[in-house]
Amino acid sequence: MSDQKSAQQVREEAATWISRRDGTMWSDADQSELDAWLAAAPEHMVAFLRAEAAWGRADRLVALRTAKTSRIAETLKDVLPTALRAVAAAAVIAVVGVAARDYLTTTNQKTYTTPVGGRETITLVDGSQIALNTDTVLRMDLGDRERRVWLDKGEAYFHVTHNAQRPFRVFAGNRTVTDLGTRFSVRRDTERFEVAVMEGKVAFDAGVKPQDKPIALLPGDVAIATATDVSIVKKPSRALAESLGWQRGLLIFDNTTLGDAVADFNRYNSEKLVVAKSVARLPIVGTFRTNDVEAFARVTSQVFGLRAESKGASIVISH
Amino acid sequence: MAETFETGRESAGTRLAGTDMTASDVHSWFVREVLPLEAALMQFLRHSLRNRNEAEDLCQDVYVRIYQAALKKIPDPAKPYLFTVARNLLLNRVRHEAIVSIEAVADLEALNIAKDEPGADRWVIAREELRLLESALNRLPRRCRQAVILRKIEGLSHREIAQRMAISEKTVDRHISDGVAALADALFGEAPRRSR
Repeated sequence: MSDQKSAQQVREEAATWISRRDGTMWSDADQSELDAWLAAAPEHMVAFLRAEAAWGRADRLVALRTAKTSRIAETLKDVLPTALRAVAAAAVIAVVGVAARDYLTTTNQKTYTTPVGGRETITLVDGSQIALNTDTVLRMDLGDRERRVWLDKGEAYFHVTHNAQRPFRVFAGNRTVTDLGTRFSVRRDTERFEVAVMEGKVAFDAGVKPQDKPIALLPGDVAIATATDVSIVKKPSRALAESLGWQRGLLIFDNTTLGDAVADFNRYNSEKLVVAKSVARLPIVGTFRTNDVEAFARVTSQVFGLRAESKGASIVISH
Repeated sequence: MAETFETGRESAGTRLAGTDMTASDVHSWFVREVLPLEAALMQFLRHSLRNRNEAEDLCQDVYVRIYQAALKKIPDPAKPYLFTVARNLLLNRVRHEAIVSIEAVADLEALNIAKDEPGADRWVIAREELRLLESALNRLPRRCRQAVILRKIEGLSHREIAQRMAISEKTVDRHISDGVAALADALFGEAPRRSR
């Protein structure tokens, strides 16, 4: 078969097709041209499948997203025309809400909200920072004697500049988290409330029984409260850092079951994933963009040899 | 982008003559079962063929054979079949070309790679895969690497990348296509041995 093109040539051609299809313009005419190329020789098809699989799996590179790579994308803002810039910004973060600059002179309550898939960071005058995750409602009242925040729903991360004279408290229903100099995150779902401490210390009043004293939580502690119960688990700092991946727009799974991973994804997207019971316990390891449901469906179905099918507004993953 | 879940295209949905499989079934099977064997296959071929290009050409021939066989009936398990095809093609070559070294056809059993160990070569080890991808990324030429980072890590379109890098979209396409080829070799090729 030495009269054929070399494997290397064919692979380069296949890579060119993948890149063209990955590009901004891809017409029906292009597709027909590709189909013709694929049909022309079986080695085209196998080389194409190989390149396509590799490029799909390279989606995992998103795990390497850091402040540095984002800065490369950030500088984009100086170059792009306004309209495109808006698109690019929306792709990276969907931000709504009020700019932080104007509330500090007043003690009035301010409300901050993020939509599904959105996130926002608020910086207070005292240097404290609050990051809101997807689908979150947070109210704030910064008084001279006390800083108070109500988490009505969703998830927020707090990096508080400690001031014993002006305590910082987070309320969620009848639960209270009081900062004692720290970084921590709070998540409020319908049935479940979670506080995780990354640094310093917080006092947590789970509000389960009125006579209960607040619990002191230290770095690595994760308190999970339901209507009737509080439990505290210790997590390694890597696991905690991974659970905060959303601040970089990432979901990081480390031996998470497919079912749990899908539940996590669905918090961020209107296009919902549905996973068949028979595969819900498969363990996932990997990093994904919170808004890239398709990549998640593709990677997991490839790795486990599952099917991912679009049905209406959802994607069903099954055997 | 919509069709990217399955490797098959529209025509791939039609049943293959005389079977109840579709071309798309064969494509996913090929990606799932055959490609992960490439590192072992290349190792086997390189044992007999010192020249890397020759080994890659033969690897492609093996792929074509196994792909065409699968269109009729998927060989299950894939691994012994793949190595049998590889050995036969090597032997053919030995017969037709006089330029063969004495060790030309390595002994499959001695190399201990044709045994079927389910899962051993699977891709489930995500961290390992990320490490492979990352080291391949770092070996790309600077501009090419930048384009791949903007595409895969920051999720920009080719047009946005062109604006950002102040180059034409055509050039972006070329950087990306170099990236695709390099990443494919890193993931499937012989270069670094995957675990096990």
